Amino acid sequence: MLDRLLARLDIDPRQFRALLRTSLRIDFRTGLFAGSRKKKSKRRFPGLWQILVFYGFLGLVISFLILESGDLFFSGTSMMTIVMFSVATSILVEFQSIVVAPEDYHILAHRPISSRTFFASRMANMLVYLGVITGAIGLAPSLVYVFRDGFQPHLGVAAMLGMLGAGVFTAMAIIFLYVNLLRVIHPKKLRRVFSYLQLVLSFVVYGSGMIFSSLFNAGLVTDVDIPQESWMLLLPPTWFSSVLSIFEGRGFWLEFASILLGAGATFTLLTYAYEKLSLEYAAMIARLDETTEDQKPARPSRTMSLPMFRRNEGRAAARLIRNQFKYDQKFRMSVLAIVPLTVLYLIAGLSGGGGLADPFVDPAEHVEKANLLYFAMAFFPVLLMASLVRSDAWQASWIFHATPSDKGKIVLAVKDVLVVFFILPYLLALGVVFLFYFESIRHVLLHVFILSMLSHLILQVIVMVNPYLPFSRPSRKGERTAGIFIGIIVAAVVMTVIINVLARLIYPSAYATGITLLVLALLTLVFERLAAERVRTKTRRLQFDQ
Amino acid sequence: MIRALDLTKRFDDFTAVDHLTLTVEPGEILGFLGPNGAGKSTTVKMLTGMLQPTQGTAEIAGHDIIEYPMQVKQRIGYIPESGAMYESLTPAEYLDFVASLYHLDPALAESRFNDLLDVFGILHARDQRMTEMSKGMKQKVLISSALIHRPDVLFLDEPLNGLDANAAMVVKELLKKLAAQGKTIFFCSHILEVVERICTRIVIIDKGQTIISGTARSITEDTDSKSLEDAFSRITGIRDAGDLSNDFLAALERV
Repeated sequence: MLDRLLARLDIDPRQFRALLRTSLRIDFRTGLFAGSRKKKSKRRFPGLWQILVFYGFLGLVISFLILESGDLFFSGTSMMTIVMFSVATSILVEFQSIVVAPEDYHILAHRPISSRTFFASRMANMLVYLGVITGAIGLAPSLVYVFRDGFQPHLGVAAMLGMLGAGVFTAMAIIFLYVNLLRVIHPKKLRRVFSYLQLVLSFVVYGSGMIFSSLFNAGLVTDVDIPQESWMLLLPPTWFSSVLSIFEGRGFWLEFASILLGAGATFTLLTYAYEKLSLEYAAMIARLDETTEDQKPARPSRTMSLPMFRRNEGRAAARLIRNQFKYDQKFRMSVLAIVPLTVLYLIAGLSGGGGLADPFVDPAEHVEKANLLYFAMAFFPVLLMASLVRSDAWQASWIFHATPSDKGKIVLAVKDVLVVFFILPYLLALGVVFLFYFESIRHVLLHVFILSMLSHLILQVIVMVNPYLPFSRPSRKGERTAGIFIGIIVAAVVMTVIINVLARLIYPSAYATGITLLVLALLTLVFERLAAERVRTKTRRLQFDQ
Repeated sequence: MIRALDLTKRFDDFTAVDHLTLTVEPGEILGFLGPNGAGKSTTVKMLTGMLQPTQGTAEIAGHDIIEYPMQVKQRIGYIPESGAMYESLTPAEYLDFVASLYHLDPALAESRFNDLLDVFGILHARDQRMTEMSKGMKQKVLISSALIHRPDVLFLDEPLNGLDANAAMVVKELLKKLAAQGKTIFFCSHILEVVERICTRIVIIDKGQTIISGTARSITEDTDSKSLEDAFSRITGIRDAGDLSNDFLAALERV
């Protein structure tokens, strides 16, 4: 029956099945749902689990909102907004693996596949991806809708339908945006633009999270009651949240108009996508991808003349990491993710008024205000190391194995490069902020110095645990999001303890502060030795690519 | 057969292929040569229906590439130089996938690809993911995927890439036999010894235009050269290889 339907739509059923089966296999093995390829790993779909856990957690947050809010339209619209944001951020960055990839052209363009069959298979593949995301986000909220006021299974179905609709609309809108921008912007430049857009979106996402938590704390979510008005037809999330109102039996002309608008917009965008998502379009991406964007000649770097980066492994590591940061979009955006996190945590701390107190003068106040800021600070080394190991250019790491370079020295040099070029500038920027609030410049310098030592210690520990060569492992889609999520939790716990001990027990006493400085210096030396020894032992295995 | 008439491809201001006209008869193996950037790959992409010509046309196995691209694609097999394949699949999965795209019966396809993999000596690896395979093994799968639907016309862009000497010998013999069966073969390679040995005719292009065509012997004689390699170097006008290598050595010895 499906075959007959496909044939009626002028889609070759056999080719459609072959294309869809293959793209799903790729997604589960090396693509979106894939995870570790370690031979010893017994986990079957760890990548898929990461996606389920991350988006499932988002769903739990929405569930609390639904439980707290009495207004179905408000909670539904908030839920649709989060779904649309999640789908948009995911597709923006992974467009060329989720929607259409340049390699499709190289592998398929000389085979007898019609544009319609190719389009249908790509759409079906994307629907699976959207189904997984919306399913993971929507499961918990749907269950809440089902059981919140008695047993109302129709509301659960409505929530799922609305979220899937919102996901498909968002995906189509992104395709529309991408295709039109491609006409005027080179794909490489466009990917960069989208990455920065994702950075901006992350401000919005983190910011929204903070606003919601503030609303929760203030008990305002319970009191929100928004009547649906005609101007709200301009807001796409309301088109899909109206499904809930209709299923609840509250449907009036406005709700029906919303749904019709949503369905109409999605259909129009689908028709547009059909015209564009052909193999010819993949060919265009492939061709544009092959031609290089105009680049300005790079200026020689002065920081490369630092003694530790002037020769041998140190120079090689510094050269590699600095240039990867300049030209590898994924690495750069991964590192820059710290910026929205820091800014928003800083704003969160300052939002109560009174500024950041001086930890040497008012430790309790400082800890209360700057707690979140230290989460970001502790998270930064974790983020740096996590971003540094995986790269699309991982195959180029053969050079480490084919030269007589000391792998241990490279790993340790990488740590030093991260400290000098990333951690220190970041902490200096924090120091400038502290200057506004601390009572003495001496306090700022001392505090920043101690934070630098702590960051360095964190890096040393990470290097000891996982001494990987830089950019030497293949990228795993979706892993960054999950990695960041886990990193935030670990960093938050560790830093809460450390900063409380520092501010409350050590800073009040000059003697204790001095001892701490000595202990930290000693620990740094011991850890450096231990790290070198451990790295040397572990990197012996890196003598051969494993 | 392949018949290209006035085939032209322009990318903005750059002309990659410039009014190219050529014919390859069934049973012929045409060696298509040229320096890097001469327009070989663009020509192949147009002839395989992957790229629309800016001007001119071509017929493959009796079908116009612009009017009937699907019929053309049914009749051709193509081995791209890039070796692009979905490498997270196993050879069995990939060949089954390709066979499905040509509507081959699954049982027939399986027996055919098992035979092909067996000939190449990699049947034992049919269920191993290609990400874990050597370049040569992947190339054998790629060649199998171009032949599995028994095409009338073959486009081969550096088909011996990564193959060991034995496998390369098998492929060269296979091409000769396919040509003897009446298949049309369009062969691009930079290995001039191989071209000289197996191609019945050679076309050398530069800047998108045909510079010379004929048999290896006629090209050598017409250019007053010692070998096809020598002729190629003279026609495409690179500096003397001896001088160039001396410059390289001098650069390495600089203190």
